[in-house]
Amino acid sequence: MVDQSLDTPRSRKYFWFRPSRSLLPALRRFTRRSEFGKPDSAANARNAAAAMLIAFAVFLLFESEGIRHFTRDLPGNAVTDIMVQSADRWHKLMQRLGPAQVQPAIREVFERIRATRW
Amino acid sequence: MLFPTPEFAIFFFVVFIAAWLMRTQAEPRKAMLLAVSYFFYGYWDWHLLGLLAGSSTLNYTAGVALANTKGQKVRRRIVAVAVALDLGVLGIFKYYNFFIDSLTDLTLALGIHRDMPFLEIVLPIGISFFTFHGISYIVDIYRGHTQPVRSPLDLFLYISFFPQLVAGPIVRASHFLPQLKKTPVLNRAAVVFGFLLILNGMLKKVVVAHYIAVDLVDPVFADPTQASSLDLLAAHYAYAVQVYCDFSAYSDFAIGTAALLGFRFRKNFDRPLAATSLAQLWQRWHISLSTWLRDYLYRALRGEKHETGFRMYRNIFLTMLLGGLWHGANWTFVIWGAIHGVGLCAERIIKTSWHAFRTGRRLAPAGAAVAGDYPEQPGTNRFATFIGWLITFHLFTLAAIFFRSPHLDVALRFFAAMFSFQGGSHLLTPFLLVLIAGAVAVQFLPGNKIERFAERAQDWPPAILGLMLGMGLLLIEMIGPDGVAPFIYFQF
Repeated sequence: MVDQSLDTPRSRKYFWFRPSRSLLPALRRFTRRSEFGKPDSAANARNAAAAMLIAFAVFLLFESEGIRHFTRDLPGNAVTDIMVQSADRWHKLMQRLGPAQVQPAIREVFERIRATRW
Repeated sequence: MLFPTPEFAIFFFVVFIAAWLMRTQAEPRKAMLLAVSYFFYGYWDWHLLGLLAGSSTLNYTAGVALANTKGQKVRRRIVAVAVALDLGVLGIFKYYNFFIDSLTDLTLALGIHRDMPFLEIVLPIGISFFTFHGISYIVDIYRGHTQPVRSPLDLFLYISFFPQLVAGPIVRASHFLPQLKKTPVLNRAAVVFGFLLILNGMLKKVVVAHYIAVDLVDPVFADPTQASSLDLLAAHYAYAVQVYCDFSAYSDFAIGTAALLGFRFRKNFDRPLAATSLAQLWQRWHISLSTWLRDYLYRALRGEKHETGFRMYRNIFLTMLLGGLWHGANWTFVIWGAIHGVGLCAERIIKTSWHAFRTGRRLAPAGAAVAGDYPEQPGTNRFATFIGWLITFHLFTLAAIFFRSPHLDVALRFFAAMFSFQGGSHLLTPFLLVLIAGAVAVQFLPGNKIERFAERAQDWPPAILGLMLGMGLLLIEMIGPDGVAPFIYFQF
């Protein structure tokens, strides 16, 4: 059910401050399903876009190191400098919180398997 | 721009959003897809955009000329000129130095010393594929299989549509152009199907093909005389798996991304390593190229009538020989094509004779033994099927040694060292064995497993789909290498 109160000017003011009441219904509305039996391409495209955004979010959390490398490979200019600094800060935060430590752990296990001899 | 890179992920996400926002505006949507396709191609080298546009203009003009011409003779001339120009451009870029090299060798052998006009020619990426698209469009119009398009936008998009532009699959105009006339539809199964194909392609390219190449194939082929017989044996199997995983991964990406944009492409690989005959192998390997060779090369050699006997076998052989030469200007590719040509002819002769011996009747003439309608023999038992698979698989993997070797002498040294039966294994690890055996084993699973899974998973909520896609890509990224090597078929 879509929260109609979202459309009032008063609630819009708090859009970014009250995620539990504002963002989730918005996401739900964004990803609403098509009617039964009718292929609703627009709704399916929204669902696919939402799924891709979630996949990007997963990468953002667990592959902060890769994102850091990616920004460093971009051609240098004022915008990419900001991106590099942001990626560095984000990677440090992810290291502190833990998700960035998953990649080295999995990599280590994988390399051990790869190096196994008869 | 390579498919399995962050650049492409961002590019595709933007294109996906734009394509579906413009769903009902057919012409602006096509213009946008054309613009992003040219951006995709120009990302490598924008100088090559002129070649792509020139090829599209040539084929569009020829199509319009065919539409406005009634006389059969003039139509035939238009097709001949257009195809000759298409092939001429391809020939200059792909084969100029090969012919000059061969001519130099020949003149030296005859004792004549001449300075040859060598040129530094860089092969434009994807030139074969957009040339083949152009030829198929022109010939299909001539044969009445498709209608010429009036809008240059349609033809330019058909030739340069980014999912299939660089390494196929070769989509027929009669299959692609009607899709531009309809309002695109995206159903939930197509979304899941697209995601699964992208995941499958990532796994095959970034993990299987990469580690097989880096840990086994590349070191062994760098100097076969330094490797043991067992490593050489493993490397020749491994290369067949590598080239399959690499190339079919590109097709998976192409078909998956096209599906997410509302386009349907046909399957390009259908478990070829499980084929039980060479004819079946060519029905399953790079299907769009095999059928292209059948319809535009074999049929051109054969003419309108069905042939039997020597002429049929000659045409099958020539088709495979030229198919081999298409892969590159190198004698190794010519030998590879010849092996497959001889193999297909021999198989056809044996099966025809066996069928005649058992039933007293001859097999119907091969409409196209190359990627064609080769009937499976009724009453074939499991043992015969296994033997058929064993021979086909080994013919394919042994011929692939020529395909992979940079020069003929490397291939010959490879064979000599492999059959010297010396030394233990130094490079083949349990991990590589699992990759190679696993890649062959999955070929025996049902061919439509991804489609069936997509049907089942179509009702999953977007969050679950996103997590499936994200976690799958993440795991592949975590165990994959830093950076991705270009796809093998980019060089063709």
